Amino acid sequence: MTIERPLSPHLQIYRLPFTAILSIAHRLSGLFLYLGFVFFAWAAIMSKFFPDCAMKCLQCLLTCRVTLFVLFLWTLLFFYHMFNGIRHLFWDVGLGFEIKTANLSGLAVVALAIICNFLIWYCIFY
Amino acid sequence: MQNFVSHFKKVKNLGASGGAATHHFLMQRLSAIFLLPVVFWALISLLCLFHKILHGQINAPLWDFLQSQSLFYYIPLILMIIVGIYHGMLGIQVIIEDYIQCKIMKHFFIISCKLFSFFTILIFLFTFIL
Repeated sequence: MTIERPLSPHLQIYRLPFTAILSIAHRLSGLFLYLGFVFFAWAAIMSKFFPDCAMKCLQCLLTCRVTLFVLFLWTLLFFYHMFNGIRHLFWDVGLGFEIKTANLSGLAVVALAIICNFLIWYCIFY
Repeated sequence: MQNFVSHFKKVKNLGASGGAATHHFLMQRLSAIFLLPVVFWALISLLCLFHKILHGQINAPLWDFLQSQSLFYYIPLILMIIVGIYHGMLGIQVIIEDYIQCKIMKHFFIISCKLFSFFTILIFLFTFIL
């Protein structure tokens, strides 16, 4: 028995207004955050079982500018996903569905994410 | 009596998946809400650790320093990684369901993603219990 179900609206079919860009960015950031968490988990596991090798790798990674840049982008995605997730939770209880509100809250989410990201990196280094 | 029944109860176990979809929805939201305070705590403890490392309060090698720290620094980090991987696994399942149409490939990817996630969480927990 097979049920023909309607497919999700795909990316090539519809134009992407601001809220749609935020929506796909939520998914993409979620994907990268998952990869990051898996990386951290395996890094912790490796540092438990092979401490010397893991320490050397960590030093190599931390002295490289590219790693810091990737980490900076990752925290930006992190804050974006967190604030947009709160926005989604409000939608789940039925609040903020009007187009105007959705656009405004989207802008707020992007602004908050950027501000929080700069703030946290400022706090780390100063 | 129907007036007192929640919307969630009304939709539960309807639909073709026999309740799995509602359960998935609920678990994703619950893990998200759980992650919010945990993430806040984890950020504070990470900032404290970074602050100690970068401002030279350590006189031991980094690895010994990290091992000598209180468990309160690590509890939120461990919780965040475990629940974060679980939450991410649920999210990736939705992405796969949406964008992969071949049934065999779809189930293959979902099952391997779940197996990999639970395997990672299990070994991660195991390293801290040891």
